[in-house]
Amino acid sequence: MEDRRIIELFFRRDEGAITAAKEKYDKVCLAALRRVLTDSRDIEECLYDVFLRLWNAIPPARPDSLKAYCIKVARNLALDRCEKNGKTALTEAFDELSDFLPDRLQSVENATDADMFKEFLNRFLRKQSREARVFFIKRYLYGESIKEIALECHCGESKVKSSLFRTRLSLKNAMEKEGLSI
Amino acid sequence: MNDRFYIFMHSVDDELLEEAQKPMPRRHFNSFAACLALCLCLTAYSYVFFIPHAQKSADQEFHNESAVSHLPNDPAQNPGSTHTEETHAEEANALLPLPESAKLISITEYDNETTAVFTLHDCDFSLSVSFNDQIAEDTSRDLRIDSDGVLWKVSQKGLIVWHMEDGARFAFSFSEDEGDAAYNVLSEIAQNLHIDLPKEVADVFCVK
Repeated sequence: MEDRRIIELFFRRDEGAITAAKEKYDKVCLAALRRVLTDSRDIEECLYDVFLRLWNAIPPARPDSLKAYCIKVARNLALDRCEKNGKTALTEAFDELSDFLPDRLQSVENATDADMFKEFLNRFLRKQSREARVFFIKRYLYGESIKEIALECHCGESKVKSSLFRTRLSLKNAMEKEGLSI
Repeated sequence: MNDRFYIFMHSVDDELLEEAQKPMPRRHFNSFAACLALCLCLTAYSYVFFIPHAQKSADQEFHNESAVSHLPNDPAQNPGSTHTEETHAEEANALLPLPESAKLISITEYDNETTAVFTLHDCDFSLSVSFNDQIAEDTSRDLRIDSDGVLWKVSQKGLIVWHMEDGARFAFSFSEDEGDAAYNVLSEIAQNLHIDLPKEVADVFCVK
């Protein structure tokens, strides 16, 4: 069923919408959850919650791409359950980047720094080309592998790697400029 | 994993998170064909107009002093040149032994109060000049690597522009899949110019 029709079903509060969305996006949500979580029970529960969250959010939300929306919801739900010391695809990807991030973010008490960083990061990402931004977010915020990104974006792995490398360097330089580094 | 992880993970706006999962447009055959046609035109153009002249310049240069000193960018020497469009690939070809993998070499001259835009292959570059800082930028994205006396710009689409303290400027382009070959070309050029390649350049080209 087309996304447009599924969304219409959500708007009409037809429970068939959940079944249709589940049928269509079950696998991609599962893949997104597996990058963040390792416990199969957590994954199962989160998967159930994804479609419940969709039911509650649409309407009023009317996503352009239901697939993108589902994956984002799955990721956000998974993050809430993310094990403190678990080793997942997402944490591994994050390790790649963590040297570039300011140590000041270490403490949650430092809310001002976190807010400043959030504002800075979004501004920085918006300045990048769409391609570089998508590669960066897919890798470091969804935990997708280089291979997966290359396949989805119809390009070579080396292109993804070098783009990520450049974006990391730019991020570091931009943070230095704004006095956010270390 | 720590609080830093959670702060980072919750830092990006939902809108950007969603955008990352939307399908990326495929490169269409038409644009590929257009790029190919443009490359062929550029090759033919450079062959017809630059190579004979470049050979001549090379012969002259052979009897002159150093290679770098033959690449001036002094507006006084070029009173008519106020814009970047005036490229001097022939001089570069004469001075720099370019392997086949090098698609195009250009040296650009411009004065100190100019901005200009030029297209090289399928990339648009804007040149802005303010005071003594001349910058060529890939309008979509770029990376700057600074080194003593040399400004490096490495763009995703594969263009490198740099300038020397004596004012000589170079632009060098290559296709995306020619990382190693491009790096070899650069090393050769750098050797000719008696400059050291910054270490980061090798990283950008993924050279092991």
